[in-house]
Amino acid sequence: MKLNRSIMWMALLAIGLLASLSVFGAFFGAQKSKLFFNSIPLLVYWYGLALLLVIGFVAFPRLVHKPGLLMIHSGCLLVLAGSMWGSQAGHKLGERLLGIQKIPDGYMLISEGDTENRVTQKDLRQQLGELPFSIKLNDFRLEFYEADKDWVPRLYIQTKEGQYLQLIAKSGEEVSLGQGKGKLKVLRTFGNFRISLENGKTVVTDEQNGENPAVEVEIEVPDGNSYTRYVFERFEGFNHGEDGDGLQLSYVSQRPRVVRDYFSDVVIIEDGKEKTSKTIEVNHPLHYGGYHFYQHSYDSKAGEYTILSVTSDSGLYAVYAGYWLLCLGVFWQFWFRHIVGYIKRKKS
Amino acid sequence: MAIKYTFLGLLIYLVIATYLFAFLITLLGKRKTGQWLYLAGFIIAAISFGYRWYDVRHIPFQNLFEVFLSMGMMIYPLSIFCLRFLRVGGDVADMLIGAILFFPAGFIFHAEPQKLPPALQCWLFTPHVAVYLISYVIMAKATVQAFCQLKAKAGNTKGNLIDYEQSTYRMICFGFPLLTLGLLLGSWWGKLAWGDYWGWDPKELWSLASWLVYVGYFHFRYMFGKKHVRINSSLAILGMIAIVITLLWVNLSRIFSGLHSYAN
Repeated sequence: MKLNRSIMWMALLAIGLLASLSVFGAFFGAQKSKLFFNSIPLLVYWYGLALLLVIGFVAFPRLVHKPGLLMIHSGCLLVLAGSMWGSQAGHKLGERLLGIQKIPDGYMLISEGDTENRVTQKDLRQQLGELPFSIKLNDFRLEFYEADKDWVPRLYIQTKEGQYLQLIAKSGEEVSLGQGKGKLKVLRTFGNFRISLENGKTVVTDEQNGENPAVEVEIEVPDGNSYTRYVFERFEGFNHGEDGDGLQLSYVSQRPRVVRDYFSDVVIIEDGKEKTSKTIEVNHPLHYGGYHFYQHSYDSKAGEYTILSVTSDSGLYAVYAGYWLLCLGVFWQFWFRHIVGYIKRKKS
Repeated sequence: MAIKYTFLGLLIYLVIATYLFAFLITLLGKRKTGQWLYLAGFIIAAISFGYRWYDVRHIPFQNLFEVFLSMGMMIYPLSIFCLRFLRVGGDVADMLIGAILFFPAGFIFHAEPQKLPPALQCWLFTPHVAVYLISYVIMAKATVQAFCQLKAKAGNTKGNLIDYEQSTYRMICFGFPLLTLGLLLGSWWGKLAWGDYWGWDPKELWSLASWLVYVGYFHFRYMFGKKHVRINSSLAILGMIAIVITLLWVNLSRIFSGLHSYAN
């Protein structure tokens, strides 16, 4: 009895410690937390937790006899075992003991039309190893949401004091720049702004052919004076006209396109033969040869290459089995057990 | 403050007013009228939820405005379910919880519709967020029961069919499987979208911490039973504090930048 109590105290301590470490880790961001939770002291903790779960089965027969509790605790044990097997250390151990050579995770940059089997680190320079098969990228493409029909051109303003304002870029629209700071008024908009000198005077026109969206604004300062500025969509930061008022203006005439999805059409080539093909997109990875391939990044300038992230599936199915057991266990223990009992009581 | 001069805004303010009115009327002893008003508040809340869904063309779970709108709508059916099937009262407090949940949607968060980013276009989006939101509302109800337990004298079960400690336990037993399911679905989705079932992201770590507080609650209660009821209740409240941080602080603070930052 005393031993059981000690085990329960240790379980409570382990739960409290993991909760505290999770809160602690949250302050450091994902990368540092990953390193922290895979460090040697934490490895000791994970093994200790697994051992504690095994001891629990021996010390508390209830954990074995009650299906819900059995599923919950064995589920946790499976998740721990699976994640250990899938870790960097687990891969090294698998190589040493069983001779299984697998790259735990990495990245692949593949240009359109090229075939690649090298896996690199995130910087895409340092090679981690080669896959026993190759991936050919047939095509990479992006899909965008339809542009919003109700979108109206807007002028975004940041004042000297750091206040953000926005204004519909339509002739006559105006906004106050703050109490005693004057106001800004839209005079006119241009689809294709052009400036020229005629008889020594600067003349501003909106030409037919070409695109250079801009807006002409009038800024009224508190002393009653006013001046004109031109804001260009394509040359942000270049404002023709008076400056030095500390106002940062930017003009957006068309709603920025929002990406709906990324697609990489790939073919797996092994021993010179095409084995399978798939379109990899977000939430739809490719699984082949013990690895998962995910859409990670792409060539944002020309769209000519894709970057896939590669993850080994070692230990993954143990983790998933653990999830199922844990999930079934909690629902059985807290919900279904009581519903079944209620139905039985009602029948009798 | 983000006051909304739209039809949806009007509905939200109407829900807040109706829930508050229902709460006050019930406190004044007119329970039946209060219940009718509570139902009316729920109907308006459901209309606002449906309207938003139609407007943005996807289930409104994407940002904090939509999350609070959805949770405020969930309170009434959960309140009725708990009273009828779990014999846990607290429906008067639920009216106030409903108004509190709608408040950020009405006054704090912006309602500008956003397109779903690629990662959110997954069938797991709806079940993952839905089970989490339902569990959060249930745990909020459990917290009210835990507060009542800490405040009430022994044997006093005002408005409740069972004692406060037991009702806190029942509520946590009801919500915990959903909290677990939310965590596991999120992990599964993380594997599909980002390649890792556990990314050590601040939101993931805080949600694990919240889950562990309730795991600790069960272990402590199993060990001591009703010997230290105040500690049981305090753990239930601690779980809710962790949930609030997971839902709000992690998304709003720059301290916790991570994969879930789109939830801002």
